[in-house]
Amino acid sequence: MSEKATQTIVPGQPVLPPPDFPVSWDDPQDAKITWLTFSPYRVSIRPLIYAVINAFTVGGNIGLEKAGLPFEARMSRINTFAYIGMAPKAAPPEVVMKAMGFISRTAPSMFKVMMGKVGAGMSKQQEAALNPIIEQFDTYWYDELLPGIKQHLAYFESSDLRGMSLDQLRAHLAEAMRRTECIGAIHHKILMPMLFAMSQFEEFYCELFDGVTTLDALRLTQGFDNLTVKSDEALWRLSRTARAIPEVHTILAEHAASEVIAALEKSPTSKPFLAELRGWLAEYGQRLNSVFGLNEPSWIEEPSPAIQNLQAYITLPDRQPELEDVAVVERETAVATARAKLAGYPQPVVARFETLLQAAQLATVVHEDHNVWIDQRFFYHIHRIIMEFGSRLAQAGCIKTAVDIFYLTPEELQTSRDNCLKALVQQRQAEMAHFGQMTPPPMLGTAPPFDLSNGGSMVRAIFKGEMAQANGSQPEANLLQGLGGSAGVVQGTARVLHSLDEAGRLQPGDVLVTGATEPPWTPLFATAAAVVTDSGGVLSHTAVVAREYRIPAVVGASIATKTIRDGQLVEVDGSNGTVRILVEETSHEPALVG
Amino acid sequence: MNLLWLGDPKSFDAALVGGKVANLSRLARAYHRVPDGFCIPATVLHEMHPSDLYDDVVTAVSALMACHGLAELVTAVRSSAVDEDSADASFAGQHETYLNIVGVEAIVQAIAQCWESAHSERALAYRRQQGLASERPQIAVLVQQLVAADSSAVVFSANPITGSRDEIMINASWGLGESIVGGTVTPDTFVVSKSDQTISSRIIADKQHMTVSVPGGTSEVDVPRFLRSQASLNDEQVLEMAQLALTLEQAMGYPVDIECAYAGGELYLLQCRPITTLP
Repeated sequence: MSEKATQTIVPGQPVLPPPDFPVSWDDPQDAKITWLTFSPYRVSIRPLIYAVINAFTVGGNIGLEKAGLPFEARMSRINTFAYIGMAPKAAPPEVVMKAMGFISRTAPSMFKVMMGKVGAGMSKQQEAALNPIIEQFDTYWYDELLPGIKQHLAYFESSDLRGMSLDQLRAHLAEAMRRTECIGAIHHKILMPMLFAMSQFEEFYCELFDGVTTLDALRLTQGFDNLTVKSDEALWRLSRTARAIPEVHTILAEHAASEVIAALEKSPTSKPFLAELRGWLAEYGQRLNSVFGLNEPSWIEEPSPAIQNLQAYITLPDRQPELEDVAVVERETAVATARAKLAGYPQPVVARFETLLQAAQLATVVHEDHNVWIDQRFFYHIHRIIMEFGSRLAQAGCIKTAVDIFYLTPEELQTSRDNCLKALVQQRQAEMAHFGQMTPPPMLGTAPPFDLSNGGSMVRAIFKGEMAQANGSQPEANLLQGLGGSAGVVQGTARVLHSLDEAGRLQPGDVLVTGATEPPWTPLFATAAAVVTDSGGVLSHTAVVAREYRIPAVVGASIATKTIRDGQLVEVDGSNGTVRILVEETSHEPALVG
Repeated sequence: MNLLWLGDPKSFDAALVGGKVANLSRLARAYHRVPDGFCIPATVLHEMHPSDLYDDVVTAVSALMACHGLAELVTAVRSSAVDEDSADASFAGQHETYLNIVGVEAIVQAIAQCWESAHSERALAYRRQQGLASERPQIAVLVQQLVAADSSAVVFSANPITGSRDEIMINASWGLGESIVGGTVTPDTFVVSKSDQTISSRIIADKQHMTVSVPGGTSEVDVPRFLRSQASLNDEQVLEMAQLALTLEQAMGYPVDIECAYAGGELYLLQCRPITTLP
């Protein structure tokens, strides 16, 4: 099935899945809500990884409730693909859907007015829930939530996996699943107010001052130290050390990434550098190549992604002046200008501006820091536990290899002690081989009868964060329209990367084109001239980090990875959110003429 | 000394400073809620060009800054008509207002603009045409600290709609008072019963516009959405304003219409006139 076989979607009506994608619902209620699959989940997912995502999402509902959102998230693994469903909380879903669908068909203009009112009502509810949080945002994060995350990490760090028996590991996995629910709750408890603070500040700034853009607003939040930039900076400094030691420089320049460590170990003059590199990996290497890539090695186990970045960095000259200094000056100038403009405004306006500014500035830091604490470090530990359990199961002959554990569910791992596990693994592998070639239908269940983005200020913020890909379009041949994520215009050769394994192909000055970037990608931003993504909005990870790196970014361009071909010369306009394909550099076909 | 402070009995003389300033000066003496300021009497402006007053203005401005512990003084500079018989004061160049004037240089310049406006060929021709007593312009100039109002109000010590003498009516909105006076905003309306000092009615309007001070003047801007349907005064402020109107009514002996504002939690009295049109 190809992407082109689009589904017929009638608002408020059941979505018919393609014939080769049979869907049967365990709970008949599930057929009545909208199920969506997003870019990270549009590949077949192994049952154990799905179980972790599910625990995380279910736990996250506590955070959605705290944000005043009138629905809860459910997950379902359908034909090996992960779908998220949003179930309304106030009334049975079919009642809500039917009523809205009926009004929207019979009286579209009245429906619009009604939705405006519903949206305003929802905004009020969400604002009442979230304003008190963002007014105390620093204590909320540093005193209430972060210590909880650190406790989970400390628990994992203190457990001696190697010393555990198979039964102890089994119990430990159950405990880890429970803690994944807890971390999901913490994650959403911070994610919602964080996006809300950034979005409210951006909207308020644009409301106050004529002729300003979203990017102007977000300039007032840039240039603060966050853990992502800090770890990238440390890696950059390591590259400066490497440039200064000829042997190290030669080893990095002439060896494949996977052979660098072995070569450094053999070179006596490289020892101090190797120690520094290991220090960096110990501090920042607790990360997987993708958030739920639990079956792949972390950078501690397989440091090639870090080394590839070093290999690119050593070809780059020193930075003058330091990135963050320029960002800070730009930020402080913009803040001072805004304050001067507001000097004669009523006090409640000034107070609101200061509250939102402070919250949005911290939110921009938390946007990255929570990734490092949760998406990277927490899931690094989950990865370790599963891998240890898997290798013991393999040793005991229950499964063939350690990574086969990912084809089993937590329930099966708790209850089954015999050889049936091997058969289950085979069955799941066959299932994944069958569906793995497909692109899953983006929507299942019942189509929403309304524009989702009309659901109040928090829902708007969520759209600005992660769900903005629907905005991508191609207004003319060779021109892609996305969202401006980071200002500036630059030309470069497009490098379309589908996974971090391909990162070695990115050369200094290239334009990084990808589906969506996750935290482990950010060191590439020092090498890239610009970044373009299919999904994500102005508050997405890509956009936030691109602004810190001061490189242009176009996000939510929807069809970028399908339209732009590797090697083409492109012009990225991060202010206007456009990407223009200039020259078909490596293609032998004649250039397209509009 | 060529300048007279508001509250100084010498500036109670309407023939010297104009009726409006004389009135304000009396209020300043009695209630201490009038923003500080000084005026240049018409007699002084007869004899001297404003640039000759530079040193006096420096002294006065420094005194105000020291008194309030301010690093800079934000003022409103207004001309005040002295001859009551000039029917069209604005035509005669006697109705100039410069808001948000900061610093001695700018203040002297604004005074000069008031002076020049009154001395303009157009104003002088008008005076000749009207056969006014003197062809020389009759203006005083008031320099007053500009209150950075968080919210402003017009208060009637009697209900101007029903005519009820037992009710105080307050129209209030965000920012400086210009948007209320100019009618570009629908203000909040509060009615306070005089007999038991309670708020008997409270209508919170969707306030779309407000006047704010911006560098070099004022500007009417949209009220941010979050603030539009929030009450521009809390109950305590409503009652404090009502009390001020009542006090002034009792002192004057007739129903009054006052302009006042809250800035940094302090209530300021900006103007007080008799209500002439009660039903």
